Amino acid sequence: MLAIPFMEISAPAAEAALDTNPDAFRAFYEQALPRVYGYFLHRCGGSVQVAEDLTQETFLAAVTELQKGKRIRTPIAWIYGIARHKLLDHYRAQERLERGLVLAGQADELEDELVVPDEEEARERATAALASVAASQRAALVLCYVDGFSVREAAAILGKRAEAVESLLARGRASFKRAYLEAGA
Amino acid sequence: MSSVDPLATILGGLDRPVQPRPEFAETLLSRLFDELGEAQAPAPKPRRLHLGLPRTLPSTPLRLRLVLIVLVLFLLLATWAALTLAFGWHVVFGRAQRAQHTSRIFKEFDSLDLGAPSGMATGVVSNQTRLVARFGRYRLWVAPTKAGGSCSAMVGGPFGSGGCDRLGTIPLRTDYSTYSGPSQGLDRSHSSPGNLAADAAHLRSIGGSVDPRWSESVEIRFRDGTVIRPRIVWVSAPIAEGFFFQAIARDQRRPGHTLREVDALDAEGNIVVSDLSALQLRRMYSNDPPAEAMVDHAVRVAQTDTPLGEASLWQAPSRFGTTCTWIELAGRFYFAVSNALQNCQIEGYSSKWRAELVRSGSVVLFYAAGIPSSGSVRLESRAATTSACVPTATASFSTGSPSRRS
Repeated sequence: MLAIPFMEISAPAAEAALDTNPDAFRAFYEQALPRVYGYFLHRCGGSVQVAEDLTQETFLAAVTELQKGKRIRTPIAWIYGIARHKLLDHYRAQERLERGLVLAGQADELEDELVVPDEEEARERATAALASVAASQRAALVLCYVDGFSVREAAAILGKRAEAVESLLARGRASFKRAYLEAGA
Repeated sequence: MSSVDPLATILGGLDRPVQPRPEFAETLLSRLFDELGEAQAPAPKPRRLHLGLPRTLPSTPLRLRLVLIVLVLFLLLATWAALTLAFGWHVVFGRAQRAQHTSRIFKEFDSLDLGAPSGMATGVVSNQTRLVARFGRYRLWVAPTKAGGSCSAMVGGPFGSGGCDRLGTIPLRTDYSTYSGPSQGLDRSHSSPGNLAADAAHLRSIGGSVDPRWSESVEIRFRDGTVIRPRIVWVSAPIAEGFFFQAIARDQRRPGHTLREVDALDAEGNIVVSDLSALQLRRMYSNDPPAEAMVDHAVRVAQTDTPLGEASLWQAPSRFGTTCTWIELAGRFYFAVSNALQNCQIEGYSSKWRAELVRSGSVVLFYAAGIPSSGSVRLESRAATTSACVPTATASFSTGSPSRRS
């Protein structure tokens, strides 16, 4: 798989440990904020409001943990872990909403092949397309294709069987492809 | 998941740090410091604007000019962004692909007004027919009209739709396509489709448009509580409308699964206007005046005594330029105007002569509107016992007995 797991995004060579020290926290915040915000922004359909809300929730949860006296050795990986939980909570909430809100797909299958245009356009289209996929399928797509988890790992994170995640991936791929092509039409 | 999976490549490209809004970053940091128990957050470091300017700036006048240019550009960008966010335009009409004069779609638009009776022409500007969106296999072509409205056509499949809002004043326009079986065939695109469309077993698609001045979204509601929220493509001026097209999926097409209404909603999720035409349904009465009416501006245009008490005919404007009419009798509100848009007459469109009977227990109220100033209304019953009409500037109002048909 070509997707680079977010954990592998290069972090500073010497990542300072994190505690409630204000200077250390500020340095960590400046480093982590664009990553966490970008993490949410691209996974939530480019919605600034949602991305800001989830970013805020993530950092507040992080501060709550620090207030317990924890000293974090790898803060970036740690904050990403919190962010992933917040994102999955957000997807679950959306999934509950979607149970009563049937997003009927188009009856006709699109036969076009996925074309990857220039990088920026591909990213915009992918963000929009991902937002249109059902929340449960989106969670599977994000975990497996963006975050780089295996199907088995994603199943464990989502609390589902691997077969169920594979099914979500298959449907999510079809929905994403359709939306991606439509976004570029 | 092969190593050349394009989907993985596309999705994998999503992981990029993004700088949030500076106000957000600073507000959040301040709150986090508060949470951490710091009474005073350390003074924020001065932020450097990464504008791609050289590190060594030129002399002051030139620097000032550069700053001014950047400021103006920023203001223009902010204005554009604000307008985009406020109105949600997704398609700039002027940049959309224009129909070639030799194309079939151009000819269809160009011939819309051929042979149209006086006053019925749409005034479509066929030279400006443009492709504004694709919904699966369907393509949405739109052209402005001379009077500020638009005509649209969804083509590319058997369940296309289309229509015109000549004046651009209709807050919600709907088109239904139904299929009643091989013997009956396809019933394309009727704005008042009758009972067939109410049963989702026959319904194939619902399309239409909403006016962004009042609405932000559309919901298709079924009686079992199922809601479909179709994707809306917002098209910029001179069209200034949002278009939707929803294919009804197979799992929705089960017998007895009944369509209830199509609603246009504002930003807060309040219903702006409901289209009940699929059921040919008219809410006969309610405990409240029409939801879209501005009740504070209601005017009593007629009143008459009945055995159930005084009946009043009210009219009020709605916030989207329609005129709502209803009858108040014995604590109930009877919706007097049979119209695709519930009880409110759309601005600018000629109101045809129409008459309604409203029944409540032993009372029948007769309401008529759209009477020419030179005309008059005469009620005839079999027993010729109908009481006199109460004519007003806008309506005639009369009471009678339900046992005597007029």
